[in-house]
Amino acid sequence: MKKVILFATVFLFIRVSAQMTVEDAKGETSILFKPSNIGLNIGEASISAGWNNFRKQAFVKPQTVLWGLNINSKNKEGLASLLDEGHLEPDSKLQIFFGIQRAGSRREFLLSKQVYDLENAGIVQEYKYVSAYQKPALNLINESNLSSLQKKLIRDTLKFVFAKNMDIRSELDLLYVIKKGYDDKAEIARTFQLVIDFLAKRKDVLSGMQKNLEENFAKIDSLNEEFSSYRKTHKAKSAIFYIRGGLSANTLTLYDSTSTGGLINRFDTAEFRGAFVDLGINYDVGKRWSFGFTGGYEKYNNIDSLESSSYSLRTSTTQGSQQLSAETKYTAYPGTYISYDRISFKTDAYYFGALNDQYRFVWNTIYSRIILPVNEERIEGIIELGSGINFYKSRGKFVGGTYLQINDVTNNMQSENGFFKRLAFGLVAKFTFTSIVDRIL
Amino acid sequence: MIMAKSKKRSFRSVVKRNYMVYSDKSLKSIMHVFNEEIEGLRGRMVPVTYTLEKTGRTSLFSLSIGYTHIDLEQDQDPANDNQFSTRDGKKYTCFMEDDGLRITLRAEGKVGDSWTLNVMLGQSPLNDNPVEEYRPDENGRLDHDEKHN
Repeated sequence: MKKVILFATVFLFIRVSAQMTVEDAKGETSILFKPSNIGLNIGEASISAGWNNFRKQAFVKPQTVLWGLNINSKNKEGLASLLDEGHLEPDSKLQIFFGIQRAGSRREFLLSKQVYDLENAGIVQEYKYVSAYQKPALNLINESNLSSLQKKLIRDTLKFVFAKNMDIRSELDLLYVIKKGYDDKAEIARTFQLVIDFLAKRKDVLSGMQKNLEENFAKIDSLNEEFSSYRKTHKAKSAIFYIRGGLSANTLTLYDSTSTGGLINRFDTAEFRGAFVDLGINYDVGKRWSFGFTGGYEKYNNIDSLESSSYSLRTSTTQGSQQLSAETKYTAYPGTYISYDRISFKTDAYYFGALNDQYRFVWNTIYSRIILPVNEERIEGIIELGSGINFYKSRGKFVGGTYLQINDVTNNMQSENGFFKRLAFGLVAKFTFTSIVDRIL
Repeated sequence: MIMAKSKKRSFRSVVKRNYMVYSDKSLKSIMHVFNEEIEGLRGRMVPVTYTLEKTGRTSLFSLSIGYTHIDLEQDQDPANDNQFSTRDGKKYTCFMEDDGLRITLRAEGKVGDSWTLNVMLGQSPLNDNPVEEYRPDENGRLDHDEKHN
């Protein structure tokens, strides 16, 4: 019986847009993060493109519908093999995601709505319109039967007056207009008197609204106080319920030593079509914890546990005293290739912490992966447990991380290796680019 | 700032000497009428623009500046989910009280999350810029409700 085991060791990779995750040794997590739009993983020679509306996660809403689509394609043999030897074993994945995020409490949304209504009440709108905009003044001027030069002077004067921050340029502009257009001081005086009259009228209108406006603001103040005290006594919570599904396709060359006929018949091409569906929940509470759980069904193969080998097939032809040799290279997987169905469960529990103001970390305190094959006796079910930590500098610059994972906790594969030999550990290094990282972190 | 002032004075003095003694006085009286406080009201309306930056896990509940609701969803940068600013040419008209501009931002985040807000009154920044919160409280709130000048 072929023992199937996966030992991921050190993996070092570059991601154009790093995600703040604490992944397990296979780079998987059940906790969702805003995914990259385009990712390039050089270590695995993969490229991915994605479309989603995850930007809506920036807001606390009673209910947010989230969706995403991700396409990933990679060369299974890695980039080095692609570049040096031209080996291409394409491996493509399509993933779709649909989820509902719920956050906040009914009380909070009610208070927020009340504040919003008061902020946008008719009295406030009207007050703002009269006090801050030039439009009512300009309408008044355009309708009047002043000379066009007079109108221009008033318009420019008002423009200056309403630029309340005393911008020096507007004052200079105004003086320039006056200087150019008016020699008659009496005319200037009359025009300015019109402006003063208008402003005085405006002031009367505003005074009339003042009492209502103050009352309105006082109501907002008291609602805000209630709002703040509610939030000081209740923990922030949010949850995402989601379904995720996908298709995968890859093509690989297998080596079968028992095949009869010519040696070339030993190389066989296998095409694999996989599919998976996952149901998951993410739950966030307070300032420290985030939990994730997924359960899923997957059509899978054991290619991860087979090791590829390189083969050279030489043919030679002899003619007289001459010999002609040709060589064809193959990269193929010897061993038993199995395609099977499996059920998997993943759990993660993130703890957010800070070492100081500069450095913070996300610790995936304990994660588990339970993988159970369905109707396939050659594959053993396994339980993996692990813990991983990632460190970040302020504003999300990734510094480094490490994980420790015990593969096959219950030793279902009857490995002769002891507990400690079944431990996998590794370093994770991500390099982030400041221009892109901020959209993720 | 000092340079700008001296420039302003020199220009004005030239204008005054030559043409505009009378109209300059009128301008002052116009500004006086305009700036006169509305009796009993504790402030006045000012044009406001802003920029807000947050970390990825920070979720924003609401932002009000000077009793004015800020439409964060509309102001979210199309290319950067964590950046918000007043759209081009737009201004919010906000109520500036005598003791400052009330800024109420309600947000949630994990340890290490933060947000930073910069507010402009017309062309000039607030003295208190940047307004920020970088330590979520025990409940994971990154709330702020204070007056700023």
